[in-house]
Amino acid sequence: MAKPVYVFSSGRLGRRANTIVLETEERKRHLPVEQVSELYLFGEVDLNKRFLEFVAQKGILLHFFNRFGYYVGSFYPREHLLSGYLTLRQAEHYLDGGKRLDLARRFVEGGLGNVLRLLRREEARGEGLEATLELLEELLAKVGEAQSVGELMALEGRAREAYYRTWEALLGEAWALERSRRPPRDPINALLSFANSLLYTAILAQIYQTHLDPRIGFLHEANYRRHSLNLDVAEVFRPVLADRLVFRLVRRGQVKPGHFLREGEGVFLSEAGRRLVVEEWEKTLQTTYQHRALRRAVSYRTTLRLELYKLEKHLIGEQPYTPYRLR
Amino acid sequence: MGYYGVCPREAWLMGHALSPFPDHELLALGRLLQETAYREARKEVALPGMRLDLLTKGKDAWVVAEVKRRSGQREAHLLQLGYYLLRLEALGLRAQGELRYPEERRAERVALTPELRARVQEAERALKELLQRPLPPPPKRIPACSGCAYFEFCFVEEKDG
Ligand code: SF4
Repeated sequence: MAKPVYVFSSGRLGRRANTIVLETEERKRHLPVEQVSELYLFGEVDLNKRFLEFVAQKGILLHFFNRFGYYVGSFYPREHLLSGYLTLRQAEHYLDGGKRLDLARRFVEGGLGNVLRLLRREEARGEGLEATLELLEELLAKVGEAQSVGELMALEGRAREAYYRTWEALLGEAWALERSRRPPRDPINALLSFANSLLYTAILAQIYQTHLDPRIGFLHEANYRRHSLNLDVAEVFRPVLADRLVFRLVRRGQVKPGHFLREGEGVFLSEAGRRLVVEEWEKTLQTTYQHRALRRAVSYRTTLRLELYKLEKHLIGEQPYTPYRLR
Repeated sequence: MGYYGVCPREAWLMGHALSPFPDHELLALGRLLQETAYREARKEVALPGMRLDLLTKGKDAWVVAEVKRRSGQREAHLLQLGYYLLRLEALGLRAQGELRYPEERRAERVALTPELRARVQEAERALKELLQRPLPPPPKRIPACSGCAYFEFCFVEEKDG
């Protein structure tokens, strides 16, 4: 089974026969190519065109992060699964304003619904979240009335702001969250940004296994220079996978002040911090549960792909897309 | 073609290139003749019960062998083999067919008889009509589903509760 490989060290990436070779100052690491689905590159890595051709041919995605651990972008080899039929349906759902709005609403509803479910559980712990819950329910009710994707984005933004304001009550003062992205200005922002980028790339890798074009998003503007469909799908899973990952790491006391470094205005995760998050993230994605409809055990990584299948079925007109519900 | 015999939904999905494996074009018969590259690609096709080997026996004719795991869907296998034979004939190649079930230690010669020809042509017509439908036929649980590469796609939905 091919799995993502996370590379923290710096060095040179090359090819030897059917093996990816990572040469660092201390040692050479050999990765049989069938065992690699994606490479996460955190260190300073040199590679050449021959190497890119090799991974492209093998359908391996590369995700690049800068030295602060901020996601830079992905190398997405030319789609290997193409269905002109589906591509046309996807474009049609983007170009047709009504169809696009319908899908965009579903993503926002899915995401907000999951935020609400998450907070209701937290409320059971006695956190006094009534006011926020009420506001979020109000906003959720308005999603159906939104007349444009811009309006949806604004609704979503307000909901997210209110939601993030509860983090102080949920996680303690030290982890109060006021969102700052570029650069993150405190540990919680650094942690959340990193978790989100792991989610974005994990979804992107699953998109690669389908016939969908990652550049055509519905809620997030299609942009031929960037991937946006994974951002749409992430809307649904951020509370489920990324936020809960952060909650776990903080509550179990796994992340410590020592995991963060400061540079200028920004705060970022140290290598040890990134290793910790990546390890817990992989555990999360590999966790399995019994799927109700399939009556099979599936992992959360598979769940991401199932979401894309539901989306494909929506696009071909077979079954309207219903986002994953936090359980 | 064989998919048509087993599950029309699978045939529709394949026909719209919504295949889990891109090298599995239903009608790209020309590629069948590219021996090694073809066979390698084919080995990656993880549709259980669906493997095809094309052998040349040199002397008087080609022998197209369909290698299957079980004979449970022999009818579908026969249609598929008949289809290949028909296409090869159209390419001007004389060929004989063989259905092989190595696990059952069975092999069966198949000739393109007038009946088989007629049945294949009928199936081809039905397939064309099926592919023109705007939607795939809804999934129906059949024994083949459990090992089918489309299983997740077919049956995933968000259940309440
Ligand atoms: S899972 Fe079942 S219904 Fe779906 S394509 Fe396969 S055989 Fe047909």
